[in-house]
Amino acid sequence: MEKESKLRDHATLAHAFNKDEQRVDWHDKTLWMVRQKRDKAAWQIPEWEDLRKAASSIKNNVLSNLYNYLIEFENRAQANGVILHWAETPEEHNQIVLSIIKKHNTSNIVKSKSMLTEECHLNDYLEKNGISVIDTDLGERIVQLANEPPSHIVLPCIHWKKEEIGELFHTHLGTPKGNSDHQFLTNAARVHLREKFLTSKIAITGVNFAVAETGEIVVCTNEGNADLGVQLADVHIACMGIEKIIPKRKDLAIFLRLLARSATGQPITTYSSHFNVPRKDQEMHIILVDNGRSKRLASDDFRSALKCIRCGACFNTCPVYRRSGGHSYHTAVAGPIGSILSPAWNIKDNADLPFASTLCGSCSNVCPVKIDIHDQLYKWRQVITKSGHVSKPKTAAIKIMSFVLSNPTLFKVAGWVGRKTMKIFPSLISNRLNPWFTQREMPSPPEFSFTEWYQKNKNHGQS
Amino acid sequence: MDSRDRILMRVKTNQPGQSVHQENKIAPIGYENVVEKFKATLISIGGTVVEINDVDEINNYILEKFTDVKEIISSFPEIKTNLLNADYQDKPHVLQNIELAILKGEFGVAENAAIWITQKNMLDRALPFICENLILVIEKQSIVPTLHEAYEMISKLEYQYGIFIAGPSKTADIEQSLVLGAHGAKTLSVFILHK
Repeated sequence: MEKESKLRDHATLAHAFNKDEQRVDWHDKTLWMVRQKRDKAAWQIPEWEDLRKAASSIKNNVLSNLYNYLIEFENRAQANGVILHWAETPEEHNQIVLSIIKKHNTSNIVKSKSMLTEECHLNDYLEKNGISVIDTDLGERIVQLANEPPSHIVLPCIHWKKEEIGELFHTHLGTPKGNSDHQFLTNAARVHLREKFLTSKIAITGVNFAVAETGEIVVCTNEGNADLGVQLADVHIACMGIEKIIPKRKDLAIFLRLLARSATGQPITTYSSHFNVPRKDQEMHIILVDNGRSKRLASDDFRSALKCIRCGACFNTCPVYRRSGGHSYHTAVAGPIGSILSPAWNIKDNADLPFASTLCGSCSNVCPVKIDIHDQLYKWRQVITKSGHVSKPKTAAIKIMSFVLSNPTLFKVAGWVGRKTMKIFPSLISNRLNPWFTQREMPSPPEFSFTEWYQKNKNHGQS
Repeated sequence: MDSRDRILMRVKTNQPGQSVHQENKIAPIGYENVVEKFKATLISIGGTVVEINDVDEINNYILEKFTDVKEIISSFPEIKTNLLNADYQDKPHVLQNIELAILKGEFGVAENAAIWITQKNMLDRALPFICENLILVIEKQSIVPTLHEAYEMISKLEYQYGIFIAGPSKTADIEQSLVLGAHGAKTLSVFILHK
């Protein structure tokens, strides 16, 4: 899916998603409901804004001192008996995982949610090497069975209807045809995955927070799939970006208070697991991945995107995400945060994403670590335009607009021509060939311009 | 130079400069009655709560509520079970048929009904997740208002594996409809012990 969609841009993919209007309305409404839950949870905490400020300042401190914190984390984790690996690129990360799997000579592997492994396309890589990994988060398992990437970092199959999931489970898990009861389907997945948990030798997890002071990692889930996987496996592999570090264990209070409330409106996830020392006879690995993060640290404009704790609040609030769906972003991390992360990884393939926004700023307002997401979207547009990655018609249109706007006489004439043309030949503007109007209706043109009105009325201004 | 050194060198060169880790002064919300807040929150996230004066009372509760349950394991000597705990230690796969586990939680948090429990109170690390039903027992005095007080308590502790458990395992991945019992325990009952 993803490889295919890379050939297209957000607008084209969003257009396809919008063909089914009822579905778009449903998608929009479901995500807005999650956003409302977030509001309700946040408003119950009078110190909410102080928590956001604190989280933001801790993350700024982490980015300023990341070198020391990484060294401290490495020392502590090694003292805990954990094996540490460093990967500069997704390829290197995937090779490390493969080498650990090969060493243990097994093909039974479970994985809980990890956006980093999505970023690295780990499953694809392992599959090419003849190893299949079972995703154990229910939403991730659903999209995995459907051979799709997740469409949301917290709610991976938010774009799927229960009837479709019933059909999918009928095909893959042998559930009765036509049964789409969510309780029944969840239990079918529980039984199916329980068997995988009990037979797996290796469990891969993501990392929500890594504490420099203690060397422990914290993983948050609602389903219990990370813990069940890890506690039944001989080997635990935890994959994290180098920016996941926080200085002290005490800082977790701030982040855990913010994370689930921002994500789904829950006061905390069901399980917040602190892995310090591996269980008896278990091998525990942590892979620290760079993939452009250290380079981004140097950028005053774009550094703060590294503060992200992957709560997904910016997805749920975004009017463009809610109405275009996660797959229209054609990257591992969709939504507003994905649109500022992805251009740094590949500016050419992701040049469309910073334009997939109305710049309304709602993303920045809900961000628990106060990332200036909409400002960065705007800044990326400038970088992308300057580096020549904007489509030719758009560049030409902007050049013409800029020429007209900087020339008052021409502006006046153009306005007059525009008003007359729209009045006499409305279909000349508002037709199918003009992409601006595919989803818009044209207001009736005014009789005169503001300048004309002002000239006529300026002497009556006293009343 | 290997990947580690190259990453660290780039981080050192590119990080924006020293800044001190500041103590973030948060004035956390207080609750008039932390026990009542804890109970209300737990119920809202799908848990059950019972107040008791003696651990022995749990025996009656099990007889009443878990009538058909046979495979029961407990870390409390007062609770009658048919299984010998020693047979289960460090053999997580053997625990797959456990229908009910009764464990001691170290303390509770009122704002989110989370209960802190570490490896030493789990019998086996897999038990809180692999069992069908989970009972956690906490002392009434142990309930703190928010995670700030909670981490004050655990920030200096040594533990190999610790976890906050808040309610039963759950998912809403199918059309945002909440289902209790995803992969972990399907039910969570918390006994608040008055001493």
